[in-house]
Amino acid sequence: MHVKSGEFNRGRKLGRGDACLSVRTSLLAKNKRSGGHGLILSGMNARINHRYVSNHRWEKGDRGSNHEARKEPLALAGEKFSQGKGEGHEDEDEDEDEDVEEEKMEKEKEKEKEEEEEEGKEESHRKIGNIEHVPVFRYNGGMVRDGAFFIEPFTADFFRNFHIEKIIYEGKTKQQLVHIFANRVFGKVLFLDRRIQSAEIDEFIFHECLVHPGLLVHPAPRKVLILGGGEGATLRETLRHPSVSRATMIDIDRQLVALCRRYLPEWSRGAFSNRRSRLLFQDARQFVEKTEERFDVIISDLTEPLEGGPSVYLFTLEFFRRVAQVLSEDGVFVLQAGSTDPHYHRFFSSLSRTLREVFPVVRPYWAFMFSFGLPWGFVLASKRHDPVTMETAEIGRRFQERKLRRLRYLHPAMFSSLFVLPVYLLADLEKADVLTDEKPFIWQA
Amino acid sequence: MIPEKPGSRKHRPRSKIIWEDQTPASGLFFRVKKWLHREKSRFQRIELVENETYGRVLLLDGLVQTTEADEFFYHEMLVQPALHCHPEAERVLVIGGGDGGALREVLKHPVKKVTLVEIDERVIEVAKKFFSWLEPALRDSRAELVIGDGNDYIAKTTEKFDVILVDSSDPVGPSAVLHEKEFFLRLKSKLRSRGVIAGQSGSAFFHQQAIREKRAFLQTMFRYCQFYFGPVPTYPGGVWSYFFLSNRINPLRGPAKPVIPGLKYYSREVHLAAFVVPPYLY
Repeated sequence: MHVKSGEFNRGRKLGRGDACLSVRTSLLAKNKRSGGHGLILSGMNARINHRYVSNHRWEKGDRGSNHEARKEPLALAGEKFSQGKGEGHEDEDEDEDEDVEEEKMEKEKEKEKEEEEEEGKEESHRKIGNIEHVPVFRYNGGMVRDGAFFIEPFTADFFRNFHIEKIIYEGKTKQQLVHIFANRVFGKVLFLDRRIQSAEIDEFIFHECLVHPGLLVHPAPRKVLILGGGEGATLRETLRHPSVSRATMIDIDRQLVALCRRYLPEWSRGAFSNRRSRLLFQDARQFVEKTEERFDVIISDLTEPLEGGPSVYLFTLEFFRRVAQVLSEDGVFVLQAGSTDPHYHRFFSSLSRTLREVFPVVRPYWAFMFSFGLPWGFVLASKRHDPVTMETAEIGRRFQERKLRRLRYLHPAMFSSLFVLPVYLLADLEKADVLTDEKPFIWQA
Repeated sequence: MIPEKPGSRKHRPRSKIIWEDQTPASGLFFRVKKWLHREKSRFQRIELVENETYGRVLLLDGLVQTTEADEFFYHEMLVQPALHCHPEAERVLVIGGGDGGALREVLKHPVKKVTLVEIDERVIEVAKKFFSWLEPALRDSRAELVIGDGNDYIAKTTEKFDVILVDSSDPVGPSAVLHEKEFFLRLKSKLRSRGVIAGQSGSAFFHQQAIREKRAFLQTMFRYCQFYFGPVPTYPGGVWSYFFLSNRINPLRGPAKPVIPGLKYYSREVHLAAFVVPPYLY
């Protein structure tokens, strides 16, 4: 096989800028519906090609030069991207000769640069929060700014970084720290309290997997309650179901929702202004405890319970008991339930265990999001309907009835496969603790 | 192996963090608890560090190949579907896979002989020293180790195999030939009639184009050409793809025999779910 100019390789070296190519094809193909969205990414990718073709070596010494290129900010305006679309393609060919020369130059300088870099590393260890932050490049110094790398502290000894092509928003709302960046590969990325929430490139996987199983398992969901979900994508997916007459979304953070409406319109795609949706800004726990309404489906799309964060007491037995009361007689409750990685699944297992105390049917399931890097878990808890015993024909029929055939990730076969858990999780689901208000789960970063 | 000279670059201070640039715009970091090994072999740079969560982490040319904690995802999915679908595999060939994980998984089955063909002797040596499973696997009388190029081996061998597993690295560098059509034609000629070929095919997201291209020519060569997927948290994108090729055995029917006990990821249900293809792919 001809080594296609560029897959991103897990292989020896980065091939000629492809991630890009594959990303582009997939997104362009899938994003026709979202208007300019596909165009933006294609422009972005064209630019990646252009740059990474010339600096495709992933040796340490090359990183400096790579990064110089990265430092040029990439404007976010749609115009610039659409211009870039045409240019990028042409540039690809023209640059080929230059690449060879550049590579030679680089090889010569390699040793020097490496030494420089090593020195830099030693100098610039610093602490951000309780995470010791070792910047990748000397000159970014670990700052959050265009061209730097943003570190997502998953735990103290395992974490990931994301290149900040352009800061779209950085700030603090009353409840949490908000970062919105543009990243070349993942598109726009939203971080809350430094934890990744969703990325443009694969938010569809997360939100389809969060919303549709719960709604599909219910024969006719009319009233839906969404806890959290500030980006609006959960609301967007909920409104796809024609039977939904009222979707109530409760987010504690009014400022965040405003930010998402303004900077991440691709997530909500007009869902906030749909006449079937209702927005409330208050604490979800307070609302659920006081409300007299009854809901067919409740979807919990909350951030993980970080110390002092807003969602610690939304994952406890007491809260789930109240949720069960607020649900209608055949109601369904679905949660975003954290990672299912062999090391980090304690939250997921504990949630399933806690929900089993309250609901007769509890079905944990999982999906894979590229931007999260780790397999991600959800839990479906229900008073009557069981997705696993549902017949395949029935699932197919509901997909068709509700016009969900054009979803980008879920299809009837995928729906059933979500509920298949690996052996290691099945074993540990039994052992987990029950989470209570006295002993809630708090993520130790 | 190139000997280390004092003052050469290998003697620079060892960093406290090791990372892989998974994409041009993101990376994966491991905090190094202890450096275990670093060398440059004839083929690649070999690094082995210890991390608190993931245990021992092997990197080849700066790319995470194997971590003690999550290698089971990869190795079980690479090996188990093929060996469970074949009703009675006796002769197995593993191309690549010097870390020995694939060999270990094959030996869990009642096979008669397994040959591991690895190009880089140093990887075997390092893995033997630091990964607990390789040494006993190699001591098994059914296992045979061949140091050499997988492509040459398959061209020269006169044997035929029930199951061939391609545990290659990616289509650039020493493994490039292991992704070409000619190589698969050669593999096919060494396959017994009920034989199965399985192998890794890159990230389900970042290598989409390669998957499509590979599928295009593999479909013309085999009656059953299916791709399947499984998570590997420390690989780019977190989801990995594998191919299953056979002229007689349809993997969608599921395992042909009871699943062997003691596996951490693979089960009958997982097998069937893994073959569901996400619609963005093709």
